[in-house]
Amino acid sequence: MSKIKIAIIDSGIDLSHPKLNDLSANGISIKNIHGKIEIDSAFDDQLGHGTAIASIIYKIYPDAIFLIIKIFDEELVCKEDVVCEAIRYSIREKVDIINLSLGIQTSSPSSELYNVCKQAMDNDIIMIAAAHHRLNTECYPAFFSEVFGVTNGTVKKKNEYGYIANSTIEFAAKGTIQRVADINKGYKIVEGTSYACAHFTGIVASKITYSHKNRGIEYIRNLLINEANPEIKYINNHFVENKTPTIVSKDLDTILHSIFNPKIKFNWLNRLALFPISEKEMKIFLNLPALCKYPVEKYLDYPKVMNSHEHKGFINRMLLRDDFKEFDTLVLGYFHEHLFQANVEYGYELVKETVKNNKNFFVYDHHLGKKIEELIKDSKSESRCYTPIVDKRVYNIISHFKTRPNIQTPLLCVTGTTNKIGKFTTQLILNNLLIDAGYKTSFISTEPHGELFGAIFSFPFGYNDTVLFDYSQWPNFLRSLTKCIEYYADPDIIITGTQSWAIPPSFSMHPSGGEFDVMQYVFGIQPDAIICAINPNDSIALIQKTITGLNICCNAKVLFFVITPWQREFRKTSNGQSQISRLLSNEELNERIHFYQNKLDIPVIDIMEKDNHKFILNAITNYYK
Amino acid sequence: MLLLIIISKSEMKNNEIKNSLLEIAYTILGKETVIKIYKNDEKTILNAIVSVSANAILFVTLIEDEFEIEFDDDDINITFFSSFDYIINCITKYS
Repeated sequence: MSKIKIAIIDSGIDLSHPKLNDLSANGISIKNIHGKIEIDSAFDDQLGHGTAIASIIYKIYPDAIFLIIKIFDEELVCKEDVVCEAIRYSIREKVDIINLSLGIQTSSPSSELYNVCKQAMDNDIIMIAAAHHRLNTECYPAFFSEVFGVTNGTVKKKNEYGYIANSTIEFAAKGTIQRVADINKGYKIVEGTSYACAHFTGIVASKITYSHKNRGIEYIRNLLINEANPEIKYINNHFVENKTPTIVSKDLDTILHSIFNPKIKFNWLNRLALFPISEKEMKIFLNLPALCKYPVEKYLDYPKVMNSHEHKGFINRMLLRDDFKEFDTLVLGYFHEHLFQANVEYGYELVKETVKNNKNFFVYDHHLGKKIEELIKDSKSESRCYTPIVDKRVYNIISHFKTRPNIQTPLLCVTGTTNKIGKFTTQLILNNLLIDAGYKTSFISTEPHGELFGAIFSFPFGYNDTVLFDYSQWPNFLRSLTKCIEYYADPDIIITGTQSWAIPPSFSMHPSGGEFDVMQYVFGIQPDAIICAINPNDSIALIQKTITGLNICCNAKVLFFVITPWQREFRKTSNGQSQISRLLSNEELNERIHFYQNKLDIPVIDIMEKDNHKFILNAITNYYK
Repeated sequence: MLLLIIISKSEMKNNEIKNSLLEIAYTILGKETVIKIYKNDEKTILNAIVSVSANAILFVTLIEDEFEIEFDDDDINITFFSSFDYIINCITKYS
């Protein structure tokens, strides 16, 4: 009688292990190198997962002939097309069973993966795949009806298994704590659905004969159901994470491009018009125009603002037909919240004209964005409207990366004692300094306009935040986000920053609900270094309180302080006192820098001073060395 | 009388094994931690060992070396790490 041939699609095998003596195996490895599938003959295991899987199957059914297909090399993650190719290869090699102790957690599996699994079934190949550790979490290929999905069961003996009625994942085998073979002739103790899957593969191989196989997969399924031990229940283990290798689905990859790749995400955006330029959030476009990734053609403001902007393109009147020819996207601030109704009306009029001219929108405010989308729909315009919202959909996509290991990439965060002290400016300058020095950076902005300045992702919180899921979910999301960015962009360093003050300046202020937003953000993002922006008016107590507060949320070291030359002062005016910002003289600024440096014993610098850029680079690179 | 001697000998042997298991736990987790923090509590010690895969395999391997036995892989499951008494039974089975 012919021997059963089993394909193990995993991390290869260490054939020198004493537990695998006399194991009969051939193998290959399949890789995706720069988008191209490549096959070679080496199938040695560097990770141990494949060796463990093989040792389990071999222990239960030593008579099998093994086809080892190595798809995991340096980590237990690979592209979906590699898995599909491995299955296709197994079909060509006419195996009887394919063991897939792996899975893709997605609610929309690709048609390519489905088709290749269907093709295997049509060729009477039994596919056995690991379920997600949470039984009902969609995980493919285990969730396909063409595949036998296996989870952990209350099994103590290696050749026992159970059947789970009315469940997409039908079988439960031994995935609880067990000793398995490891690379370098070693052993390890493991648990997880990967190992339950391997046990079930061994059991199926030992049960089936070629006469069974000739009757088709459904016959074998019924046979296995009938012979299952009814005493065995599945274990819905919420504590076992990161045990089953994950594959980034092809569809997920496409979705990530649409989230992180500006060339795809903003392929409709080329030249900008800004409105209203007198707003605080727009100032950065005037102060650091070179750092905006898209040329600004028009600086628009309310007709009533008497402004002395000298920028070419400054307009404070309604746009004319020819004006619309000079840009394709209108960046909208919070005009709809302006105190003067006339200015609000003016803003809406501008929006209508922009829609009429089929121009696009980049809108900071979520509600305004929704209104504009309705207007576009009603007008049957070709305009697009983008608002940098972070909603449940984005949350769910990014959460795919939750179970990946913690990031290894350095993460630097700019925060500060108060608002309007140049935190965003500091982030932009740092980002560009590092890029100019040859580093690959990924910048996560917390400003709505961050993506226009090269941010890979915006998480806008603070004023009119557009993060549309619960505050308690921030840390989970942010940890997954950094893992996702590390996977997607593979940067040398991740730069981010916060809005507003890190800790509330006064405990008597009226609660707004967002007092600890910065703390929650810092706790979620977990930087390993901080650059803290301070104001020339700040007391030493406030700065120290801020650092203490940050230390509660993370273990990051403050590398240096940056100080703005603008000092807040109260001046008597005809209407009473008002707060103004006064530009300090060089002497005044230097005096403040020396004062803080002496008191805090950490360098204090003016970020706008180009002579300091070398110090900044050295401070960052030395720290991470 | 003979029966009593046999029982007491068996108890003595079990105590010796238990002491050896404790020594192994000290090696893995640190004597001070086991005594001061875990208060020598078996359940806590075994939980602490099994919560780290590398410690769990080290524990099993050190037991096998100490008693010159080799457990069947089927014996190494969650029950194995449930109590010293269970481990002692396993060791006795192979000795």
